[in-house]
Amino acid sequence: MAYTLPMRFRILHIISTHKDINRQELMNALQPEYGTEGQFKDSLVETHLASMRAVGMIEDTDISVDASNNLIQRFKITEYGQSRLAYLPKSWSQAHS
Amino acid sequence: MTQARAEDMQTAQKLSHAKKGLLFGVLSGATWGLDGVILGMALAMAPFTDGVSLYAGAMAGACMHDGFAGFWIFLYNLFTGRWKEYGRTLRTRPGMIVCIGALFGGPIGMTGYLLGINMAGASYSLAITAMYPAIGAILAVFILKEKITPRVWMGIATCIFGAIIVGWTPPDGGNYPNFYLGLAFSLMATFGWGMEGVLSTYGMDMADPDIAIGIREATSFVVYLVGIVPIVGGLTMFWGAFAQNAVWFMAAAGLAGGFSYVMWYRALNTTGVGRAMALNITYALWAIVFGYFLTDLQLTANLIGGACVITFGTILVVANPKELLNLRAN
Repeated sequence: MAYTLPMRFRILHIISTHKDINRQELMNALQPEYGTEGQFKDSLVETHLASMRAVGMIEDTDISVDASNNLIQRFKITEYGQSRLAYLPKSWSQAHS
Repeated sequence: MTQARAEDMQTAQKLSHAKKGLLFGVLSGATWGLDGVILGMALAMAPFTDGVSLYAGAMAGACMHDGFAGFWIFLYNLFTGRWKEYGRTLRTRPGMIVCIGALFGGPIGMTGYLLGINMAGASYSLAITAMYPAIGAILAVFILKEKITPRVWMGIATCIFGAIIVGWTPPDGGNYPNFYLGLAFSLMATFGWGMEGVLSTYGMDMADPDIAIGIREATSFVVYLVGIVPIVGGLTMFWGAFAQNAVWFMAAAGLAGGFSYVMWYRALNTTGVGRAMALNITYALWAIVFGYFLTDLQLTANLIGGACVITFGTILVVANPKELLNLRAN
């Protein structure tokens, strides 16, 4: 039976499967696996994204401001981030391929 | 216009993240200083003073400290809905890298530190081990490709120099037949602490820092309890402490230490190894502040001079948060 990845690792993996993705789309993708957990919060996901961007695993593709004056950022995985996907557990990768 | 507004908002968001990292680093140093003062009070109480061997009290105390710190961090992660992340992270290679980092920082670093003091004397050992931020920063440049500007290098060196001044005592002229071996153990501790920062930062690219530090403390506790405390004859002392008042001091030290470690791992992840370690070593300054208010610490010229040097070094390290927007040259 496939197990659940640590959420930060899963975020990197989800970003790698999209051309680019914003935080809300990412939350929607995480929801089935992590939606019932206390860590499933906008603020925590935003912190993960900020850290991953600072160390160069993801980068922005587009930024805009929505009608409610919220910053909307779209992210894609970098080559460096892609190299870190080598650490995905094989059993997990096989179950999700 | 809208695009310009978006760019301003994004820059503000990135800067806020970077400044938070610097704050985490300063808080890690401050609470580590408090932790050291409380731990010192606990180790001066029974049963830790009933010396079975030279190292029994220190190792039993270190074991208990990391155990309490790990327990408090687990409670924090439990109440923030992340307890399942422990098992998930341990099943990945980054999780195992964090565990190896824990061995470098906990048992290897601490054992080297104590053996160094015993074999070479406190003066040389403390001066060598205070250099761990420089070792960590050098390793981070090579392993993580971290970007560190000349001003930050200067800040790291200044903080180290200040910590050496604070801890310096003239060599006591004692007879140390294994002096050079003691220096080697001190270097081992310095390398261990530097390596811990780099390995855990590497692992935290894919692991939540609050979980990584929980794993680190648990790993360190188990290795102490199973592999080190029995060897130095400290098991009776360890269990005996639970029936003494020292346990409350240990629990308080573990709380301060746990908070400090959470802040340190977040700082490593947010500001990079070099800056986080330079800010962490400001504990030498904070230990003076807390020691003055909580114990009968006498302020000497060494302490005040060293504290001023550390403060100057810290200012050099945190001067320009904009450098933190991109930590590495990947």
